[in-house]
Amino acid sequence: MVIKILGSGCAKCKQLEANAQQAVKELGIEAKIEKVTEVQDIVEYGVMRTPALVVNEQVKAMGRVLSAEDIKKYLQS
Amino acid sequence: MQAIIEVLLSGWQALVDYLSISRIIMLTIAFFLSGAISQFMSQGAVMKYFGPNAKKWLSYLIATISGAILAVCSCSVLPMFASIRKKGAGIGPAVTFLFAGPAINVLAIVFTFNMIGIDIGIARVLGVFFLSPVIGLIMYILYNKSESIDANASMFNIKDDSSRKAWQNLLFFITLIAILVSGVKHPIITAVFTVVLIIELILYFKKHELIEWCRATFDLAKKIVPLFLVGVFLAGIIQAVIPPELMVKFVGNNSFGANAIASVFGAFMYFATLTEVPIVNSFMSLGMLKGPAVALLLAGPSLSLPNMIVISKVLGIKKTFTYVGLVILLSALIGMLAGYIIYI
Repeated sequence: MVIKILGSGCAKCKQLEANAQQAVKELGIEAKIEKVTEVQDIVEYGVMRTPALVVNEQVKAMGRVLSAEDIKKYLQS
Repeated sequence: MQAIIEVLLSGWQALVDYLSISRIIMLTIAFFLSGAISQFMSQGAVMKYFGPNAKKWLSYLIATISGAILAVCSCSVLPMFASIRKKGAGIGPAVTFLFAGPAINVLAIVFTFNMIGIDIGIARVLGVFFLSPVIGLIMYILYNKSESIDANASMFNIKDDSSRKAWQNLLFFITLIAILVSGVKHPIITAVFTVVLIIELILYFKKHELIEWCRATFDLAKKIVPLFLVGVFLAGIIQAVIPPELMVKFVGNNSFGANAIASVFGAFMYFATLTEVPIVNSFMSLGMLKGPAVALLLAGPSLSLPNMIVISKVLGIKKTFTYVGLVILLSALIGMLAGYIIYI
């Protein structure tokens, strides 16, 4: 599973990354967390509001910091 | 040693002078308003005007006021700018948004009115309203042909999960703005509106929404207040360090040259959020005239050297040069015009 955090590096993006890491750890699954910081690449995902969460190349949420609990739901389904 | 202590004292004095109780109350209300905008303002309702099928004049209009209604932080300006340009309404509205977004945010406007004065505040607001669509339109005319748009209308269809109706949100924002405007000057009116606000909060809002609002406000304050205090401190130091003669020589008149110096300085200098306000304020007490002050405030928040480099990655060198040139030139012209009008 590949999880991508889209954002140019503001505080909210870092928070989302930390929450994603926590979610992965608590679920005990194999997942790679990558950061996408280039504006051009972010736009290609159809994302305007950062931070955004992408799981297996699908945009799951944008414009808000999901809690670890919320991220877990996206990882399990 | 003596000199250094004097300079530091001057910075300290600026802080003490600025932070009166009434100002702190005012700023607290302004932060809550900004927090509410980022939390409750329906972004979906606004975003659809940036889509590829939106009416062009509406795109420009919404882009111009976007800063006030979207509470865009500097890190979200660029992704939105790039999306509007490549997937939506095109380069014109995108550039309008890029310029207006940071320039017209509620906090910056409140601080300008509150710290520098009503005349400069009004000049700043009107200046942004005029410059944003004009700069966007010029960029459109110059470069529309060389743009490739890969329209994606669905991207601009954002659904908001809001339990409130539009008029309820509107009422809430109007009440907050009324409290901000009447402030400590008219305590009775403020008290009446505060009661209205509390009734609205009880009737229309869920508890978790209110907690999120407070959290958004607190996050905003945590990010901005320390930088702003440093800015006020620096502004005090500037007053002690820069000789007034120098300020008078360069920006102590309302010629085009003086306005251009101010707008070039504003464009290249990096101002952390809102710090342009205290710094311009101390420039003015050193002898900067109102025209150049307006020019600096117009060119300042939307541009800085680091931010030009990032924009050039998205926009390319040539278009970035044109954009920066337009901002500098037009800010100087508006500054000059404002300088004459306010002077009379």
